[in-house]
Amino acid sequence: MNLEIDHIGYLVKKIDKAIQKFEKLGYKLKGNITRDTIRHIDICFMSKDGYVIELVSPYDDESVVAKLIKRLGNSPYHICYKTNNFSETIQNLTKNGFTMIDKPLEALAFGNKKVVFMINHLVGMIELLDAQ
Amino acid sequence: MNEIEILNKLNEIFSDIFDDEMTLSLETESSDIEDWDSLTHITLISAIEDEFNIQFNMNDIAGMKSVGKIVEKIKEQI
Repeated sequence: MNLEIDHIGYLVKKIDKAIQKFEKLGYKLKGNITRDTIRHIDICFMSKDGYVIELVSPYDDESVVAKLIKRLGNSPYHICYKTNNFSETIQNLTKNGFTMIDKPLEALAFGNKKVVFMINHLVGMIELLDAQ
Repeated sequence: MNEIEILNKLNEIFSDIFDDEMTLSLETESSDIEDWDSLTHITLISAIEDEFNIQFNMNDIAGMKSVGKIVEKIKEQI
């Protein structure tokens, strides 16, 4: 199982204002804000020193992270790993105590590549990105 | 493992996840526990799968919103 860190997911309540604050820290915006109507979130990517963060902001209460942001506030909440063996990696992680939140779905923010979110009670949430 | 033993283990798991001492019954439902939302549900499932060394079917997971249903699904696999 060869996993490479792609980005860190970061919950923010106000994505436009959060971008401005991350820019003060030296992050640069990559592309535009994307609205993911499947997950009910606005997303954008920013980078600094080779690290990438994904700002995620629920735009209504139907988003799966709407309650999470109320609990955590503005905060990092997942690490995304990319893999060339998407299905095999999901099977492997499932056998090792990670549970899928939902079935794998295409993500607009990644050019419709498939992603899936998984949770382990000791690790928290991870995202898997199909690198192929 | 009988139903009481399963419930005792679930009490430990729920207490750990919700950071609160829990006394569950088969009738306890997700609506009875304020913080039992969709993401916490998956965290619970992950902890239960680890503890009992089992794996639930994805279609079953969404329906396991009561302790009675969880116990029923655990009993099917142990």
